[in-house]
Amino acid sequence: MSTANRTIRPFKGLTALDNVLDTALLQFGPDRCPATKRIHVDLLAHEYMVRPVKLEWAPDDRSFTQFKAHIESGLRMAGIGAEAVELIAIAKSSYLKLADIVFRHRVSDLGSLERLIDITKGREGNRARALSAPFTGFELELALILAFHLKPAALKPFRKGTWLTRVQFGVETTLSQIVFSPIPLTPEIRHSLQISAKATRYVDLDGHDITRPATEQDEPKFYVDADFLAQLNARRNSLLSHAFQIQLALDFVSAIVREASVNHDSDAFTYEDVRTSVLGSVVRMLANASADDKQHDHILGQILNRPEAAIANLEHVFNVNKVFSDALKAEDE
Amino acid sequence: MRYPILSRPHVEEIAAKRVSGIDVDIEAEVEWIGSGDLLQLTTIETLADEVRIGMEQWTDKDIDRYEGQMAQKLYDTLVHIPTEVLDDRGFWRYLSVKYFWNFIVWRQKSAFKPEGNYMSYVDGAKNTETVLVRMFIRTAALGGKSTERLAGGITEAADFWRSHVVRVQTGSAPNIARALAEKQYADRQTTDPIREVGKRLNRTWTNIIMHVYDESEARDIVDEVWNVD
Repeated sequence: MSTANRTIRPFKGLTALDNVLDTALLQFGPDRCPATKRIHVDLLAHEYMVRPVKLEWAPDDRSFTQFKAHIESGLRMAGIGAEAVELIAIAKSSYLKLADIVFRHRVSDLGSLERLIDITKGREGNRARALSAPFTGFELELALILAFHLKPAALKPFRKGTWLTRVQFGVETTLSQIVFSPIPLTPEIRHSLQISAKATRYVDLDGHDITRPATEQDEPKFYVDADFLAQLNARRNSLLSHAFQIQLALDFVSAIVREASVNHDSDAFTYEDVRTSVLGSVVRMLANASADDKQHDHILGQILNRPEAAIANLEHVFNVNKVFSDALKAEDE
Repeated sequence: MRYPILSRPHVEEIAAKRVSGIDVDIEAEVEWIGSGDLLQLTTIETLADEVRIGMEQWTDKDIDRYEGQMAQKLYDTLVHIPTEVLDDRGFWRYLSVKYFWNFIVWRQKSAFKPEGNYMSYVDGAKNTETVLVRMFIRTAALGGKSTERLAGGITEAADFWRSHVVRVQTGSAPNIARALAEKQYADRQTTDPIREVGKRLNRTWTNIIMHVYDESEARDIVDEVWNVD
């Protein structure tokens, strides 16, 4: 991962816990999702709704024993008592802002933890709401957290809920989609963004990490002058308006490409790392529909190393030359 | 459950005609999907009437407060509908066009003209924009019960709900959202100060999973991010 845009955590002594949850596997019916990954399922809504959701901590009994030992030794090295820590799983579905705690277990009682647990049901015994959104899919966050407040100490986590280590899993569906559309840029927003009165376009990432799952964060905001946007809408079927819309889309995607290249190391990620992020969407935009992960990795490398070449290739994808030519010819007629 | 939806292209066509002053019958475009019991729409129809009558009597220029006050009623009417139906954008498009069109036009008046950005308020795509979805989430974010005072009581609060509740993780954590709304209700901050509070709260989310906080713990953490000098 990149070192340039990573969340800064004000704690020391937690490194022994860093990869402790990496052996966990999310089971969504017959599909398997490893820790930190996302899977894509092509299901009808009623098929999605009957799929059991399970967490497997480790692939076999031996590695499960190692998993528990790893947690215990990591906590000892961190100087945190097992009684103060719990293992928690939260299922989230972004569209309806659903978040369900589907599993909690005290680390002081690791002996009673089973290697495979069913997390399909919520507190009322029905399927958890966050697992019942087939048009959006879900994220599962698995973490070791402080179960209660500790006595504050420098560079040590002490607040209840502070995660000591965590991993995320994602299940997305063909029914889900990420939508970006321009927001009218008004005088009030210009003032708030401290940009000049005649500014026409502005991409505001506002803390959005373009390498992390897009559905877990605020969307990047793309502002376009309100009057200009209204003019485009009014002529939405004209070739000229179409040309401007293509240019705006190109501006937005170009901003993402530049952000990626400026703030991330050239070998920071593989495509798999960023597949569900905004950056992953840009990679797919630049790829053929039949591209495999190796080709996706190659395109990602171009974005990070030669952003202007990637932007030039986006012009090909957006068919800019033809769209602009057609708009100019239409003006002559 | 069998329930009605409208596709986005159909709603685009219907909405374009309506904003141009052409009345259209939508029934031919409605599709019923799913299986099992038919979703009963009577209570929704009754609510739509109530919302319309209340809207016609509303005199306060702060119409976001009306949106907030109606949010609880909308939530109460819809919360028993299965989650998989509420997750379907097509269902929200149907509700918007079939029952709540006049209310949504009234609420977002400046967008409902031929060149306007009206689709974002009825197309179900974004939970921060589609009026009915954001209303539902506003109430859900506050815990779903007795939310009128906060949901409809904070003055000129459209940006507060959109930017600091519905759009961010806080919207999925009722104790945190309620604590934040209580502070804004009691000590209303203008755009820039509340934006700073929101940023501090979002930064707190990066280190702390606040879904586990009870009401008292939520108040404490919100007090903390609120009171930075």
